Amino acid sequence: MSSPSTSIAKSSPPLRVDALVKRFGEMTALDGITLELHSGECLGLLGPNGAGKSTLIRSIVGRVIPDAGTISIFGAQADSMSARTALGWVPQELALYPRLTCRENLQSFGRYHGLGGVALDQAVARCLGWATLADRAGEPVKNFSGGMKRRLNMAAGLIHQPKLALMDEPTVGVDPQSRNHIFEMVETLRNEGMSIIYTTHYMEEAERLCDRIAIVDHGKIIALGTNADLVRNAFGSRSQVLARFAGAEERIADWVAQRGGQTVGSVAQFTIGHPTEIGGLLEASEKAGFELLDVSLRKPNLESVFLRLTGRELRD
Amino acid sequence: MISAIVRTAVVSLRRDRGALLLSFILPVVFFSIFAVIFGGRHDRTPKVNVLVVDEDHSRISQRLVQGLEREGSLVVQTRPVPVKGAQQPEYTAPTAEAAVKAGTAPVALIIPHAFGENPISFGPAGGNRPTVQLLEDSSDIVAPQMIAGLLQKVAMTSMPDLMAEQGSKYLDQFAGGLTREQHDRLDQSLRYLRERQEGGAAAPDSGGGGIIAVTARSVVGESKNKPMVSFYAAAIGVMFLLFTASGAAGALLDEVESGTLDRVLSSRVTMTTLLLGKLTFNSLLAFSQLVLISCGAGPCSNSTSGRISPALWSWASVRPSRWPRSAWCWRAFAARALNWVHSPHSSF
Repeated sequence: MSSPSTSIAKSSPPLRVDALVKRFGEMTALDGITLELHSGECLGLLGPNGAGKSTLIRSIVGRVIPDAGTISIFGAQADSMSARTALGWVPQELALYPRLTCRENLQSFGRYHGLGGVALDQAVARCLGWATLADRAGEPVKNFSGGMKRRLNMAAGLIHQPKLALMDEPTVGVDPQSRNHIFEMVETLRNEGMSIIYTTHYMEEAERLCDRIAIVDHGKIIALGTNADLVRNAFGSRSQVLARFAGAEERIADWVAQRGGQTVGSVAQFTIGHPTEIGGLLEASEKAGFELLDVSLRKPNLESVFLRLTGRELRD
Repeated sequence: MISAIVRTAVVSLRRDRGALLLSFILPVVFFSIFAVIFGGRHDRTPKVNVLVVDEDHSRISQRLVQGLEREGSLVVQTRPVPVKGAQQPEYTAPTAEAAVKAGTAPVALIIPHAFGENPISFGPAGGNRPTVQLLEDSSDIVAPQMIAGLLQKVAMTSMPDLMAEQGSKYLDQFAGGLTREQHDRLDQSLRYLRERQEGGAAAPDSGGGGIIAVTARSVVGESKNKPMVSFYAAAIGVMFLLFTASGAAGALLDEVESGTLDRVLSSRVTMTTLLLGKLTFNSLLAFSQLVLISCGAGPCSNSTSGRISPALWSWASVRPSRWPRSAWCWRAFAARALNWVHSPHSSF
């Protein structure tokens, strides 16, 4: 088997996806997705469950064959041996051998990636340190906590030090402390210059970890750019007013819509150009007969962008 | 790469006590149960019961009955089993027929009066030549044919002198008469044959008295007390090969359940390599089970330890083209099925 350094084209971007389409029966999971990952960049795929993020990742890994479009990994076709070698995949579901110990899991996946001998031992030691699992290396994985399994899941996918890492919601189901631990692991990889695709439906993760963010919905990328770009493009310099009123929900929703706002749950959201506009808004609500419960002013964030672009919340 | 998969599977199996139990204890338990059930009841192929009624009571008819009694594959009964220790009278034609109807035996042979005066059926027709009656239970299609064949065989082996004498008589009659010298030589030969027969020279199972000399030899479980147990050892061996084949599919399902299948297939391991690795591991496991059955199960079946293994190995080596084929077919089928199920075209 050839090593990645000799078979991949260094001048090619780590990942280029062009007009990718994948349908499962009537459902279109990927609807013409096009994107390019820059070298050393962490690109976040932000979208709700079912948006098509995992299907895109699995297509890049070669576990889903697209109906149309192309994927190139350092210039190599997806699922080719050089692409497999250059890729490291951290699947959304835990993919570990529960009866094997932490060390044995790493050794197994290291061997599957072609490592052996001293190189394997070094890689296992490095991963145990990176995932801070060295003191639990000899324990069967089935005894691990959710956070430990998540960290090992990441380490197992990246044991061969790939040039491109695909992380599919690596923080699903972990407590805040473990999540923070995983953030630090990802930041370490970023600092080492690894190119990363990071999928999540948590806005904070995308804001903290990603250089650029692609907002994905219904199999399409509806916005792509840095966090600041996305907010600026959607809201300019405007702010958001969030207010809660007492009264009949339908009446409130109608009134909010008439004022150009959106109702999400029990919260009415308005976009204003200047903070002084809040006074007029509250006065109008009083005239309409709604009792104000609370009101706040905030700068728009990714969730606001998503809501503005799709009309839905990110966690819908 | 295949060795890496085998290695992982071995460690995983070692950690799974349930799977270990199923893999290495179950074959012995199965074998022991089969050995107790079949080995105890049928040391060899079941014998055929035959009721014999000798209405003639001549020297010749008695020799025929004795010849039948010497047949290893028959259990000859001339009278019903004793009731409360009291011996029952010999079967007669009507009681034997009733016994066959009642299912006591599948066949009854009636040797008629005057059978000894003209025991053979060839030669010129005419007269009221007595014939042996074979009463059969039509629900058993094998036993009557077997008895009919054995009757002919026993006639040749238990009274060859009489057969030769009758034959020479007809030869003399139809060949235009023999010379005095030829008569003397024939008489001399017949005398020798009679003396040899009465002296018990012809062993009942030697086959030396037949038209074609045959020496029978059992190739499975030769010189063993319980060849049926050996047979079942081989059968159970095949059964576990099939279990192991389905285990190969199960091993891949394990990969699916633990979520590792896609991850493994995203590494340098291809589906072909993965299947080869699983196949290698399961073949090694199957081999271990066969060794375990052949070496370890002997003492479980009875005191003659190790007597199963030659049968198993001879069976395994004599017919290598037959017994593994089904297991390999199972594996190939399982592999293809899983390959199809986990095709990237069919999954999310």
